[in-house]
Amino acid sequence: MMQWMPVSTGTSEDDGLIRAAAAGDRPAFGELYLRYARMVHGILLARVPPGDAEDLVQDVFMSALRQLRGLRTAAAFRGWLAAIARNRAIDYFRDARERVPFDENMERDHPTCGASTEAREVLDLIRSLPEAYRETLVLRLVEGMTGPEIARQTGLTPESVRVNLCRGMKMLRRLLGDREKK
Amino acid sequence: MSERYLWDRSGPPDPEIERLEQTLAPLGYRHRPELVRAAPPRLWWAAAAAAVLAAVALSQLAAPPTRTTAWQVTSLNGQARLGNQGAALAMLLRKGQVLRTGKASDLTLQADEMGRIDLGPESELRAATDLRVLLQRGALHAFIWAPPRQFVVETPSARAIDLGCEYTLNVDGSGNGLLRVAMGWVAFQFAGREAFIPAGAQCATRPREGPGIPFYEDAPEPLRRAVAALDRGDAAALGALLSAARPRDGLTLWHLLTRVPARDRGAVFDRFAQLVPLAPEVSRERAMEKDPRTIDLCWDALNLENTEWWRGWERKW
Repeated sequence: MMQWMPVSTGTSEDDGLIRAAAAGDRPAFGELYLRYARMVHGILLARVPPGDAEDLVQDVFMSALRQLRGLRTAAAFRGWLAAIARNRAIDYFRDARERVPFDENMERDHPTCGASTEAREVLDLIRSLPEAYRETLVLRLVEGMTGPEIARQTGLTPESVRVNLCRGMKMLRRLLGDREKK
Repeated sequence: MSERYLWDRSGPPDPEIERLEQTLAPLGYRHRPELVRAAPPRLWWAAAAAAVLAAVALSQLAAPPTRTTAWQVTSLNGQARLGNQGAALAMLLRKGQVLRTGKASDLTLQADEMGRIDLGPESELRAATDLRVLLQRGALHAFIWAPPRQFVVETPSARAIDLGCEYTLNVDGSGNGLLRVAMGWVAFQFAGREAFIPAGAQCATRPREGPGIPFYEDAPEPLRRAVAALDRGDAAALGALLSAARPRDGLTLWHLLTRVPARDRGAVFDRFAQLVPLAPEVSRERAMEKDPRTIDLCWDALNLENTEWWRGWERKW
């Protein structure tokens, strides 16, 4: 069963930044960007091709900036930002037919340039897992976040994250084993 | 399976999870710079050039772009082309679409939540997204109010990342660029090299080399000449640069600390220490090793404002 229940995280050091950003404080928003970019990138990477995840991170934050004033509480920010990222990934596929190739120069800094075939294959296996597991595993194994960090940033309960990690990892091991046999 | 290690990396490491972490790390958000540095520059450039040609050929075969960006034409003097048609007021720039201004022409784009871009005569620009544009050639003046670090201008020789500012970027037909910052900061980046340019400073960039050494526009002429010579690879110009440097030119010397070869680093540090009061914990020995903490302390000694912006950036020293 997927575990998406958001949790109220109460007061945290980020809450002041969130309130300031909602009031139009640009540096505060920039700081939030730095703190949450990995989480947003991980959520996107669990769904869209690696090459597009980075650009979409910026889209997500721009969308968040536009809507931030409407956010009722700072505590809701984390789950809300994660939801924007998931929605943006959905829009990505909706828009896919209209996309055009663009900037070849950007390919030099492309995050997948140095990624091995092995990395892409493993990512594909993770992405074949149920949604909750793949997102949590990407945040843990690709973005390097710990379980508590994932819970704090996504708004999921620590229990949900723990279950998603354990079950997802078990499924991933099975898939890796199957791949080895082939 | 070590659940503790999977949960928060405590407890005995799980070998398989460790291996997966190592394999997947390059796909993560923060691993891009190392990957770029790992590529041999010349080989990379040849591959990139081939990729450019291939992509250009492909783009000519592709269907016309249909997605718009938030960038809208708000003023036009003279002639400009937007894709296959003449540009006009209120037209929206589409993703991947080429915008070209004619001789003695200029055009302004504005995006309400991003900023304003003024394009000078004979310029060519494309937009990947609202936040990423490519200036292939010409002159671009940007006034950006989007959050710092979000808006990026690519050029053939470097990437300019807005850190909250107003700046002008010129790119010639060979891909050489010149960035002048009027307000705030810009990070100029190419592969493993970057420069931080505050208001009042400028920095050149060249294909395959990336950003040169930034310097203040009011710097003495001998220093400006020496910077230009160093940017061209003339290491003999270092002495003249050090002699001409003022305390304010600590900005230039700081960039040199991590750019010059080890044999010259001592001289740069010594001059830097003469001009800029350093914290007691800064040691010459550590500076010679390019110790990141020491390089940070040297920057702090410059007393430049908004340091938190570049310190939060992807530092590579």
